[in-house]
Amino acid sequence: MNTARKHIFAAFAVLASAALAAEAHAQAQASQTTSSTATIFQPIQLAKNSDLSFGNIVRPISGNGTVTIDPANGARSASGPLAIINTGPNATPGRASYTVTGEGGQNFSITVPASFNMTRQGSADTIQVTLSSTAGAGTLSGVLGTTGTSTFGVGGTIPVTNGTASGAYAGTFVVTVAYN
Amino acid sequence: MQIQSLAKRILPLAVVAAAVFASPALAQTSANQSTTGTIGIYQPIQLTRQTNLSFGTVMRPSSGTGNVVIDAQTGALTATGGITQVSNGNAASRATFTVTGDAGMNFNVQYPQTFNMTRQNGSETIPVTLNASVGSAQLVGTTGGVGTANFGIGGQVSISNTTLSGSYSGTFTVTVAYQ
Repeated sequence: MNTARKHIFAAFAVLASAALAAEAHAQAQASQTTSSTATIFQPIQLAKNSDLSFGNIVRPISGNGTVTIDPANGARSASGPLAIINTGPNATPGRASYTVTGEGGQNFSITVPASFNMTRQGSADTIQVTLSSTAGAGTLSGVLGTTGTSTFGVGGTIPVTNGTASGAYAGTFVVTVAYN
Repeated sequence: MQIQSLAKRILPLAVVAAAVFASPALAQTSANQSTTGTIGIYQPIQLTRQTNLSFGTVMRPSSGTGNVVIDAQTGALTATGGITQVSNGNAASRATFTVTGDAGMNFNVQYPQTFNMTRQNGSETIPVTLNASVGSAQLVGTTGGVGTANFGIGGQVSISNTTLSGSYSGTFTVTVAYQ
């Protein structure tokens, strides 16, 4: 819509300057065929299909490690002396996944914060999550005049040490897509 | 008058400004989604052995075969089939363990069904059949804090009139895991 407005303003400007040019030459009559164009995009929309979950883990007795969720497939992996467990509440790990809907064939950018904090329930303890996205930009399927879609995923990595307090951690981050 | 006319001029400008600010909301060139990230972190589960399993000192039967049983719950020794416990011998006991971990979490106990004890200075073995006081249990404590639980392991051995006398020993491994 912004693009459309720009085009329309441009068209008016061309008409105005054409009229002025005609007066300057003091001709009896002059005409110009002027084209006006407008490209109208449907709004871009972002739907979240799933949130980011690291599941449940057991912190190391000593030392430190990391837990990673793959942005492409949601697979969980761990390094260091910590243990992944598949028990307890919210035990299923997974990536955040999104579907973008908008004008077919158009490019869009994906903006994901580099990191965000998860806070331990009932305390001020935080764990910093480093985020990773499958892409920084994408192209909507289809062509101009049709509705296109595209999907992408966000994963992340967290450090866990023997000093990390046990508990349930949660936090939020905002993902943005925009036509470009 | 001047102030009033200025106000009149400013007012239409304010309307225009409002219209410009409102338009991006209607014309959506970008869209965003708030996303939640979560993790549950648990304390390590730890297992401490308090006592070993001991069948004490017993006299083999003069004929036939008998059993010696150590109760996993109480550690009490029961001898049958002509076996008698030697009262001033080694004390009998069950193996006992303390588990610590995240309060409220469940754990299971894994142990071998059998293991062998071997005669000191010999190669003869006595198989021991093991049993535990619990297969799984919950760690008891304040939510979010350290929870504890205790359990025991007992066993049974068969001893016949031909079992060689001597001191028998062996080892087995017990594992606990969050479930």
